[in-house]
Amino acid sequence: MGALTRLLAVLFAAVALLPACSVTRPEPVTLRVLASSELADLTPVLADLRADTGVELELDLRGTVDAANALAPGDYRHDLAWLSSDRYFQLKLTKSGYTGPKPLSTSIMLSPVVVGVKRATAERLRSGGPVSWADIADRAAAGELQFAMGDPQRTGSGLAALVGVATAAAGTGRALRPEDVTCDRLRGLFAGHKLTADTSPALVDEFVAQQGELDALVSYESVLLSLNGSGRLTEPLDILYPADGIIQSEYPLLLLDPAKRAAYDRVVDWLRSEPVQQRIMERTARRPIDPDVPRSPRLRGATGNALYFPDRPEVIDALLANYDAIDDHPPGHVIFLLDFSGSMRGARIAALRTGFADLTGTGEASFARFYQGERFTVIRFGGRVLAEREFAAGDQADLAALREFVDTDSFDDNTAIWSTVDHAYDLAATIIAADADRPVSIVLMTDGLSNTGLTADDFLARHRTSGSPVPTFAIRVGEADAAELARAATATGGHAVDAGADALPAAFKDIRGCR
Amino acid sequence: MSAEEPSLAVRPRPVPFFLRRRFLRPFTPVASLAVVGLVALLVSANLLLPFERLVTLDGGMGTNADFFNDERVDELLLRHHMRVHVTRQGSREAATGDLDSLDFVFSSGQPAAELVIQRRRAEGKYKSVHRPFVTPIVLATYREYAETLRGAGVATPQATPGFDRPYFYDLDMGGFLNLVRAQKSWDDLNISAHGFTNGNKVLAQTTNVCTSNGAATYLGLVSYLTRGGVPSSELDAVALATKIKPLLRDQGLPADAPELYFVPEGRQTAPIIVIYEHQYLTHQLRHRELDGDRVLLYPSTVFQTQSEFIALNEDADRLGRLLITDPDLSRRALELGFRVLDSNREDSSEQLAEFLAERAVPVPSMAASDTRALLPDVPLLETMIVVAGDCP
Repeated sequence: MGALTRLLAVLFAAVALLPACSVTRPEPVTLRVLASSELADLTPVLADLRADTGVELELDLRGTVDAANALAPGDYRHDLAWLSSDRYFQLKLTKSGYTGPKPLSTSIMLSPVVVGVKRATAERLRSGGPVSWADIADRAAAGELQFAMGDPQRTGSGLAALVGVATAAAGTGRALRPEDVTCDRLRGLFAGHKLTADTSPALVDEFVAQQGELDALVSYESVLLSLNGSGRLTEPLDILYPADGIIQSEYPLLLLDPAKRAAYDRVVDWLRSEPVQQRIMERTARRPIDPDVPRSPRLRGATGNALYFPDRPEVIDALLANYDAIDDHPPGHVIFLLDFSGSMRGARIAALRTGFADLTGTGEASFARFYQGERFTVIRFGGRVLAEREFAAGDQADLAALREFVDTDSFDDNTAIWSTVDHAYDLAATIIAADADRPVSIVLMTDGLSNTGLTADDFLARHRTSGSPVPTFAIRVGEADAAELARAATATGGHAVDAGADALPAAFKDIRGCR
Repeated sequence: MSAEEPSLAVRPRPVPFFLRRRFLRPFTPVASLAVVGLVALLVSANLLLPFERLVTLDGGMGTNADFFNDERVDELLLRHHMRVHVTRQGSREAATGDLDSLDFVFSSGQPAAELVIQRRRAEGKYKSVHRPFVTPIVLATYREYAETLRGAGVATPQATPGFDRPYFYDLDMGGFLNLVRAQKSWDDLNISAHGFTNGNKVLAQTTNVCTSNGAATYLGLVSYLTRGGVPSSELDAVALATKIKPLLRDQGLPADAPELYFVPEGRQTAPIIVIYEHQYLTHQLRHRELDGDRVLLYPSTVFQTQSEFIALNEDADRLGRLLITDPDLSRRALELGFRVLDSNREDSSEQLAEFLAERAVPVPSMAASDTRALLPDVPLLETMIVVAGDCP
């Protein structure tokens, strides 16, 4: 019996010790992961993951938006998803009306979407102080900055950049709402968008191939830093963190198949452990989610303020639709009708001139400025057309001439609003006859009551029969008849805005680009 | 554990190596009797000393995961042959999700806990509640943002004897909400005086109001101040929630809080965010050097959130009782910045203050004189959450 007692004692001791030594080598597991394509740069890290934890991640790489579009709750084809951001996926779930449990999600690392710019261009941009998206849009509209950016309908970096610039352009300081997207202010910026691709790595390859012709690349900070270190560029890119805001990417790892929870936990614990966070930072230039890992020198700088990301899917849909429309619609022709009656003298005409300075690129950088390919006819009117001239936005001499044209101090005593608008419609018909694809719009700015020529009713009667697709936008200053302007503008498919003299430049910007 | 192992409520241990054939063969003739007995004991899952089984409990929780993810807590629980497997989700998400896959829910606040209790009651299933600690809801920010709010007349530094700079501010919550309503940006409030620019609107970022207790509590706070009380009816709750919705939704998609606040990039990613006091204190306690950049704003109208541990079976109940009665676990909770409730259910803020002082961490004012906000009853709060968050 003595032997059995001893044996039992040994067994009991072994059992008692078990809780303390239950770490056994886990079984090897392979998980299929739908992943953002730039995560290909993690391949060496994933080899270590496999060696350390027995979990192999088999990455199915796609553009982030493509990946999110491939994720259908209840019909996931992968065990995990690892996206630069799951915001688009979240909005997709909201839109689909899905109410079930959402996948577990753990952020792994950070990288903001920013702009890599060639040195000379960067210096020009910086000359006016901290660089904003507005500065970049302004230079792009002027034809001085040509950039590469991923397709926002397919890539996470492209979508983040689109949301970022649209939020900065709206200037409300909050997440975009549907009403903020009604006017497309991004045409100027996209006049400089010369290269696109379906994934981040493909965009980088194309950029490298065409680096001679391009000035900037919009992508993740990590991609830009890695590209700079790759020796593939003839000159490294300066990384600009736009002062009016960036979109941060958090690279969440999502658990799609709850049955794989144990392996998911192993992967997450490993990826978030301090040495691995350090390795990820060194290898891929992404910022650790672990606050205690000291940032390497190249990642020590500020990232720019994060903008709020819209929480309504219809906002993203509208942004993407507008983006799409840019390719379908060539740059437009705007006919400006400027009231040069005597009452415009002084503050009002000064405000008008400031507005045109901004729009032609000599004033404050603006999303609304005239851009490459656009054409304008500017008409000064009083009791009749005082002067009329056409300008092209791509021509600096033309833009200078335009400023000079509105600088003239010759005013008339009468105001023939509706005859002038009627004349503009004849002009529009001529433009459309020459180039049927070119969208034409009319911007009317007036501070008085029409006291000669056609009445608003006369104009509307004629216009109704013309069937023209040309909208008129009316900017009312001072004593002008708000109701009459609104009625006529609305009838043409446009609308009217009120502006005090000070608000005139803002009103011009507001009306620009509305189609 | 293999990846495919089903998630059982209480996992019996896998057959240990010493019960496997190769090990047993030489011993079988003499030991079979003992081994049969041992197996019987293991399977019966009704062990007493000397070899108590290790119980792994699955818990759903939000920020209280900070407690169970702590290594020291892990160690203390092992002494009681317990291990906790955390599923991190918002408290409301846990409360409305699949309870049958969990052994307990550790809600950060009463409303979500109440949902769980009601569900269990309706289903006639096991539940027992333990309340180990409380922590106030606060707005965590950066020094220059706090100073900008001070400049705008809505924040007042608390005296922190022994420190040359303030770490805690009293926030005039009504005044702060007026700035939010007026759509002021940080630039409008002249944050440039502190060397920064930020065109974003003044607001406090929160986690998802549909899933998390912290955001729901903030909603309660905002509505309490907007209305000067709690809503009186369903109709009133809908109207109030509709009114305050923009204040909560201008941030767009909710933040991945508080992770993005504590990273070095936090000043630009999440400069002002709703968190629990203990999260900030843990952060200060964990580092040898005091973090002089991050500071807290204490809303003038306070809301203490009460962590509620709801055991869904008896094993979990044992854990719940331990949280209350085990002095080492209570001490650890204190060290993690929680205001631990003592045996008389009184909050032991004084003990926390002493502990912080010992560690040379500034002590926030723990005065109980502030106005205390009330949360609406659970059904009305639920209505408000769903309206304000457009929750599914």
